[in-house]
Amino acid sequence: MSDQYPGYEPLVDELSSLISGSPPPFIFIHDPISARTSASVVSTLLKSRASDASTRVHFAHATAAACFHTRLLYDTVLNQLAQWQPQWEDGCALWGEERFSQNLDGFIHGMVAVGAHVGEKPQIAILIERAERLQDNMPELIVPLARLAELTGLNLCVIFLSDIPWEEIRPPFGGSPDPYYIDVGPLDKAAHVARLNRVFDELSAKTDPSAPPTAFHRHLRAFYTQFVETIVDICSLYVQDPVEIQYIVAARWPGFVQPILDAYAQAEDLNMNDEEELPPPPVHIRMQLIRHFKPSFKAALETLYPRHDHAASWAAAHAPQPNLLDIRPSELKPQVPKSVENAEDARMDDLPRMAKYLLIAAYLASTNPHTSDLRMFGRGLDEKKRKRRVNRVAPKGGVAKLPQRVLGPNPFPVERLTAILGALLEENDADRRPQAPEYTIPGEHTDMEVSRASVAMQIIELADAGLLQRTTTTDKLDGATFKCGISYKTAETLARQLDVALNDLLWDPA
Amino acid sequence: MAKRKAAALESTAAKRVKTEASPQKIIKIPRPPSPTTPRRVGRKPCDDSDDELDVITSRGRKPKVEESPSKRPTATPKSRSRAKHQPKTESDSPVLDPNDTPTRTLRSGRTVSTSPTKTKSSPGKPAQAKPLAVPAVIAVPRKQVRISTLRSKKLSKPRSPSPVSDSEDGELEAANAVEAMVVGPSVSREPSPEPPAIRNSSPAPLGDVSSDIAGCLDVQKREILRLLQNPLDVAKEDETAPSRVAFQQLGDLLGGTVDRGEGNSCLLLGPRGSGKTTLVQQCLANLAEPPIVLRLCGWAQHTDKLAMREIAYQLAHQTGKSFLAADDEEAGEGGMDSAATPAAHLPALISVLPTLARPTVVILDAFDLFAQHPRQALLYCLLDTVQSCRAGTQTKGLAVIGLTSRVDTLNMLEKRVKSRFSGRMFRTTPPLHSRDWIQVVSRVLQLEVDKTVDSTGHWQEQWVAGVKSFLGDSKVKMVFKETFSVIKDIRVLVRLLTSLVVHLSPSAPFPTLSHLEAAIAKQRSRPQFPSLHVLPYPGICLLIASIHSEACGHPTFTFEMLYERVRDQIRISTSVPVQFNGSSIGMPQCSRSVLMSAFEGLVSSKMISIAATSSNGVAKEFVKYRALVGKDDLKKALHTKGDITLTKWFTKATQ
Repeated sequence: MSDQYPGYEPLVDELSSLISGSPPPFIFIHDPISARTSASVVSTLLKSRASDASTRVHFAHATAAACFHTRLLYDTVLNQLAQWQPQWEDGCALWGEERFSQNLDGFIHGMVAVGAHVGEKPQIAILIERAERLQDNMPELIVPLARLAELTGLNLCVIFLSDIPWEEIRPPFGGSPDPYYIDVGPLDKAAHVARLNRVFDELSAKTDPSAPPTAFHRHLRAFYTQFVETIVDICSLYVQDPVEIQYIVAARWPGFVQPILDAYAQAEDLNMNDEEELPPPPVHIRMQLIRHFKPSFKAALETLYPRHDHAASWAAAHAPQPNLLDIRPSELKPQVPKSVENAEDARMDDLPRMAKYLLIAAYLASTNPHTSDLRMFGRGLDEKKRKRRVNRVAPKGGVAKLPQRVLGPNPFPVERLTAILGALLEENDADRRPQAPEYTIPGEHTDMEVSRASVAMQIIELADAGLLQRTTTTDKLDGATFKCGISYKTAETLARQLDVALNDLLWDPA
Repeated sequence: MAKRKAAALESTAAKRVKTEASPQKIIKIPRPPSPTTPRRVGRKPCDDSDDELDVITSRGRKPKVEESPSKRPTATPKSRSRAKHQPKTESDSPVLDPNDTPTRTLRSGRTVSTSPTKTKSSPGKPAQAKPLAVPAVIAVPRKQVRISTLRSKKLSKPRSPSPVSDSEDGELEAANAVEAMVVGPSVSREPSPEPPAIRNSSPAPLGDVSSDIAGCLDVQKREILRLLQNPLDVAKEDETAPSRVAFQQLGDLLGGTVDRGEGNSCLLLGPRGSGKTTLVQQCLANLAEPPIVLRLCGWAQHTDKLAMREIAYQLAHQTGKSFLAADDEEAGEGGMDSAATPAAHLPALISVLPTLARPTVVILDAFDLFAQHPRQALLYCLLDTVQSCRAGTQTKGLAVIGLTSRVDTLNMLEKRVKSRFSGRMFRTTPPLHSRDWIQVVSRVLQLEVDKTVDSTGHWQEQWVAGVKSFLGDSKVKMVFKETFSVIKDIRVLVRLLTSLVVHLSPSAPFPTLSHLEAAIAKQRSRPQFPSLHVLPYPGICLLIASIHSEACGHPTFTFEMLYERVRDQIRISTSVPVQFNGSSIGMPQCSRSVLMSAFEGLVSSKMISIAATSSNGVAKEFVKYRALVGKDDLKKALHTKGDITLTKWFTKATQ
């Protein structure tokens, strides 16, 4: 059992010791890193006990996220303990002659009935995964569940599993007894590697030996181990959840090993009748591949861990170029990963020019204090240079002043937006307009442009797209206020496209 | 209340005097048959000696006047000389004769009355042991005399006492008596205080059974865990006086109801884990004729409606008749949310209780919660029926027992309910002294297992010796006493022992101080953030940034604020291209998206909590948060983690 889950040996040992004797009535397992994996470990352990006749433990596994109502929880537990599968043909009847899921009393009667049904003085274990959800969905149930052994009079052990500590879940007034605590620690690198190797073995056992070699062929196992060690070295600093690392490995491995598989296929085409086993890839090829793909490992972490993309799509985007192994090692450059941020900015490229100006104006309006507008954008007759705050050294003592860009955007009225837009256009865009001799006063043309209906339309569209955020409920533009919805980085990109000096216009530049 | 308590104390005192007069009487005190009875049959000799020691313990408190002066000089010089000579002899021969140990253990295993000789002072620090030993030496001979009178004067060698700094006045003698009991029944005479020493002293048997040791240990663990389910049961056999009084009074009350058909009501008051439920169980089991028992729990039956349905259900199961009103059954079909008021059925149902064929006992767990039901209808009906239940008429008796840990429960009752309540309150207490705890520990750990598992026959001796040296360690006793002084809940002790026993492995088969300390760290004094030092790098970075943010006057922060700090710090630390062993010594790069994910992880594991009340429409990087992890927590975590660059950033002045 222990070797089935490398890295979880302490949990398995402690729990099996507890379960084999008389377990405490209430156990709380705290795993802040990967509660899902721990739940599967506990579940497998107890299920293996359920099949063993000598130390029989009747086991039910409920997830508090799925069982969002008391009745669902009651039914799940009772059906699993009685090993009852609701059938569509008999109307999906639940176990038992009475209706046990009416309320808590019914559930307790049901537990007693199940206890009598499954055997003489049975040992029962109930695992409740994601126990923190009980707090939201059925807080009144935490105390009875914690006291279930006492209420039913059975030899019963309720196991809560959660990624937040018990102190956060504990009901008030001391209603529930304190549990027996089990903490699950993080895995070390060796355990990560062993775990991933186990996954590989499982997958390679499933593959058809006669079929052409896949990415999970058993001869690639040694190479896979080397690959996994590299990935774990890079990623385990940032992520400890074994599932996340497994996800990254699953996304990268097929593309990583594809050149070797291609080489195998070519070799097979050349001599079809050759029955001999596939040779493992030579060392220099391995090193070459690892060197080539190494930059993409961290890129995979940065894209897949925050789920900016899913594994299949990322793998497709980072597939190796064909005939990679034919390129001479000296000419083989490391793979350049595609950045996620670039993809986001690419979407901004499709915006019309006026919308880009509007977004920059909105960013300025949200970030600059409104009292600074005249100094930043105003132009007197003498073309005096605009003055920014000079002394930006924080005063000693007291509360340090923070730039607005880290505090979030401020709301601004739509009139201020159009005014700043006008200033921006006058500075940067006036020269590109077609000649309009009818406007004689300086700035009159820009005023005309800014007050066009299309600008108002653009504002509404940007607000609908979420690039501007409405802070007033009304749909009308009169008296509406907005907040900027783009980040500094995006604003910077837009400014570069329009050739606007953004940092000169910011009151408190980064 | 104080008066009652005083009376209780008096009665115990009286009892103690009685037992001193005639030691046999203590056995006659009705001891409820417990679930552990079969086990106790198995270890009869041990039990008997415990009973003897019972007497010793109580006698140990006798005033010194009762001492027979003639016996004192016989014991005292010996003990003194022994105490003087012991360290010397030990330093002469620090390594024990391996052949010597098994025979001694064997002998001691047979003869129950081997002297409890033990040296608590380790050879390394005799100077510390000597001054502490002085007051105890006076107590030792007296106790030895007692024991020797009981044990046919086989105890000639007094023990040198342990250097326990006992804070409880006057307990020292009693504690010594307990030690005598700990060491009592089957004593090994090795003066080695540490389990490793035992293993060193008897290498031969261990080598033989090393393959077998796992099996034996498993059985031992299982038996101990089973015993731990009812730890207080054992403690009750001693003299936990208030609980004993409550047991007798409650037994009398139930007897009145069952035998004479009285209507009775009472409250059983005691802190959590003091054995209220067990007490009721035992009293019920003692009754000659089994009554109808209705068990209700305030945590399960939130409303009177539910309580009534539950009463009807339990009545139906115990009498075979249905007591649900017709429309109530319909309501049952409709579900729990049917709005039919219970007021109509409640009096009818409750008034049935005295007319049943057998007397009825209603047990209300979490009684204070029933008092919070609207109009206290259930309590009113029950107590009213109790009050109108007249002995001698055709009706059978009815008893209502409320269990609660709230001392002001009586004040919560409405006037009409209170006037119908008899006002009788019985108290249970958790063990009053730390020696009771140590007693429980020694009984639980020194449990004998089935001999058939132990093929070589050495396991039991080794185990007992290992446990003995564990309990003999003064630090272990200190730890238990400290735990007791912090929290007197016996369930904490059970958790500690469970953790202690579960973590024993064939490579380290005997409990040690480090095991116990690990158990305490996990089960009793849990750190608020146990996994702080194993947080991944981005999480730690964000927390350090949050500490710096607080230092410059911003206890609430947005993700952007922390991100800028982390980014700047990484930039600074990597600006100097110093390399060590081919890798940069600066902080590793960390992208914004990974930091954002780590930030969300911190939020979901409740290390950071949201500070603003409404954050609709605010982008997630600008939502205000507050760190729950304090500076000290983080300091400790960084110390454990041992990362130099992060610690440097943590300790440097905030910018």
